[in-house]
Amino acid sequence: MNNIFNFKRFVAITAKEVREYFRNYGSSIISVLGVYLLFLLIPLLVGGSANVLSRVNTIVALTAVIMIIAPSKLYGMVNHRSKGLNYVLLPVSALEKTLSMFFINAIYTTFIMIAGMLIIDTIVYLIVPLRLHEMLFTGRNMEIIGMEILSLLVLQSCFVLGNMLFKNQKVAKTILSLLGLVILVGLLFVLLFHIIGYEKVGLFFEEQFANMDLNIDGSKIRVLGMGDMREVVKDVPIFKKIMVIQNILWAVIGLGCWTGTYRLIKTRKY
Amino acid sequence: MIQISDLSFSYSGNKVFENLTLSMDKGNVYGLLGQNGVGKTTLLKIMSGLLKSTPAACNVDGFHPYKRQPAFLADIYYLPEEPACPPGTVGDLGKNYGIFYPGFKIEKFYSLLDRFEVKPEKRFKDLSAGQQKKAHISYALSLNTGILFLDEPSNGLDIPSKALFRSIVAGHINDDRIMVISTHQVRDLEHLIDPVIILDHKGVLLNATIAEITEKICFVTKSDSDPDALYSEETPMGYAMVKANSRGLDTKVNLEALFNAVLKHKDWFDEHFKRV
Repeated sequence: MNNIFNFKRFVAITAKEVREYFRNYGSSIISVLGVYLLFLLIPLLVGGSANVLSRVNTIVALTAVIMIIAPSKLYGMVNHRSKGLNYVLLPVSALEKTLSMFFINAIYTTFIMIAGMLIIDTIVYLIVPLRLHEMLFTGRNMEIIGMEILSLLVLQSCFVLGNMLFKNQKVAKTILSLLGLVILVGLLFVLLFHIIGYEKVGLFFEEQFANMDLNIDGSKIRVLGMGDMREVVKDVPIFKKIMVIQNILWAVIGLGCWTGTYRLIKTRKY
Repeated sequence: MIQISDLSFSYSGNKVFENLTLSMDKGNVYGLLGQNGVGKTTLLKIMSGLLKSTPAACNVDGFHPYKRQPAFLADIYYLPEEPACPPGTVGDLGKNYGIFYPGFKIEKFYSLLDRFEVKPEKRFKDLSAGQQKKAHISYALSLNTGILFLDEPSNGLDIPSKALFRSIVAGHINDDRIMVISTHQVRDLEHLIDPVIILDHKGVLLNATIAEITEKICFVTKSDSDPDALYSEETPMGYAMVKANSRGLDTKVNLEALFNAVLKHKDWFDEHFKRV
């Protein structure tokens, strides 16, 4: 018997988790889909409309909420001293358990949320096409949502690890830990800039911006979010490098969190 | 086979075991007895891979339990004293979890539930604590694992269910299986467990089969107390005593009296029952 990975066992545990999925998380998913439906209907009822940008942002925000809560709702008991025993004693390897956890949290949950909201959006659009301006299900919109989801997957991996590390109030404790880390990193940058000298840092970035060849009237740039910000500065060499570093950092954080989760599944004591 | 060799274990500096050595063979139902806090549950958890031990200190059928390899987990099951109930129905437990165990048969699970008069379509949350325990016992036995650890299985069962439990467990004993039952309710399991293992903080006080026990000691009730008795307890029928079996009497083991005798005369039992 292969004790590290067996595809049949992986399929079996994933199928078990899918079977249990809606009992554990169905009501939350339906509630959030309901919130999206209300978000579309309320402006229509008061004579307004929901534009594409606000719909995309709402879909991303609601998906973020569901993705962040999913680990504690679906796997909250895994590290519980008595409630976690059925899970830990299942004759499935730690790698198979981690991969099925990844499939359920990152792929299945995200797919259900996005698909659910797109279906609702399309139905409402087909009923009142004039009030929703355009269909959301287009290549450009899907690309925007897809890019945001990639970032959310990294964020979710932190909550998956938090779910394994903390025994209770897992989401709140993970948020506090992340805030703590962000503050710590921020302080490190402040310290770094202090050592280098704020003026030097300011001058350096001014230089970088001065070299920017926007070919458009800079005063009319309207930055709507981080995605647009990236679009604006993507050709500036220093920002190009920062973005590469950021992408590598996201990949390292995501991979690190999942590796940590695997280790905790493998070595947790009950 | 389970081999514990020089196992030492502590919880945050508090020693539970120090150089514990013990072996268990197939075809037996071991009764694991001991006072509160001597580490019965800890030992079961170490043997089932829930707590850490070194590979040399704990070997179960050739596996190091703490590695929790699927091949190992497929052949063991640990039923805790208060098992947590999954959110669905009793039947879901078999359908969702049982399928991972090669020996599991859903028909057997349903048949055991039927004997315990627990309906598989009932939700766990709608069952009483005793019924939940019966459902878990049915599940544990229907997995057909080669090694089964039961922690206080008769706790919470009513009187008829205890008799039924004994009968069902007796029907599941075979030459390829090791059952280890940790219990304080020795009277509930008196005719079931053999050999008997008694633990204390210093290690194993007794690890002997019922035949070995009755060969070396006897259990008698007399109107007068005997100062030579290893243990004596006043009962309505006289003094229930545990004595050295110098006359070769064949008596029925009274586990409770045995337990008290062992605790009172550790050196005597160590000398007469010395074995690994």
